[in-house]
Amino acid sequence: MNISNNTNNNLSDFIKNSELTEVEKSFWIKKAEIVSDKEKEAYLALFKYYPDDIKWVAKTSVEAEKALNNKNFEEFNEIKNKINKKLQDLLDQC
Amino acid sequence: MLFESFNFNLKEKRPEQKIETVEKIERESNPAIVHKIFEIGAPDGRFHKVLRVLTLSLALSGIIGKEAQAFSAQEVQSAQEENKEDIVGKTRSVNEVSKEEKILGIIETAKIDELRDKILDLKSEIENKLSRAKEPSQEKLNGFLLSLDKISVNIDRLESNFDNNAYEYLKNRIGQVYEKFSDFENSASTKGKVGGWRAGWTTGQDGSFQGRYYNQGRHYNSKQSIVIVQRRLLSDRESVIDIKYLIGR
Repeated sequence: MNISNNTNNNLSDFIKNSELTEVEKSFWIKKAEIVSDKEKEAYLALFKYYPDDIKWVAKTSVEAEKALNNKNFEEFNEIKNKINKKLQDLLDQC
Repeated sequence: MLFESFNFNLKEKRPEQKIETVEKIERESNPAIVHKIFEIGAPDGRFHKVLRVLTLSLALSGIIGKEAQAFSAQEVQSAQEENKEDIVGKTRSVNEVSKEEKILGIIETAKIDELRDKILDLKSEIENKLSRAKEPSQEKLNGFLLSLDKISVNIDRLESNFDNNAYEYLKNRIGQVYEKFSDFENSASTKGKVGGWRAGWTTGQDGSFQGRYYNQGRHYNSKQSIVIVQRRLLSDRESVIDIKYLIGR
């Protein structure tokens, strides 16, 4: 699979054909618009190998942004702690 | 190893350091390299898992990056709720003293303590001398004590309103009393024999102390400096001599 070609289309296709909710799809579409092609390639790999991670990132980011907008810092901190814990758990497995 | 270049050891780091490290990874990692290693590496390989975390951190960078902004907003919100204007930078609480002021306060206190120590040392010397002195030496020594008492009153004033010029002035005044007392001690009637104790000492050309001491006591050398010498007996045969310069040249 040559991901470096037609990266934009590939990522868009992955997003559209994924099992994400509309809000989650919107998150990734928005992100795809602002990141570099190289970063898109990394996300494509994540889509390919870890689709659950793609959903988790979108879900978590949407929740965190909502907490921030509502100035609910307690909830935001909880989300942030969950992110840290998950990343750390994954690192510990490495 | 790719992640070694990131100093990727997060296990021993505190949460905020972990975030910092992840942000460093985000800045320095090249997504293209991440992708290539994704492609080359075995899906369940060790390397692959690390790159998974790297990419996740990249994807979450928007949220992580908002952390400082969130905490800043949180502080302002808390300040508004508690009506603490000092936190939002308008005023400072009466009890809140800046770091610089704290350091300055410590220095000022140390300076005041230094003057008081000098006064106590000198008064002790003078009183010791006074207990064995006869007229007219008593009157002279009492004059020194009176001068030191006046200086002490002004040192107390420094405590409530420190002024560096006043500090320097008082320090010089104590030095002047030392000088006069030293002159008195070195007068013809007392030279070479202090407090009735025999002292064997000489003074170097530069005014520094040289010599030996036969008895416990206090001895003074030239006008330029005052030396306190005290012999301490450690045992019947052993003793040490403490030498302390009250005023250096």
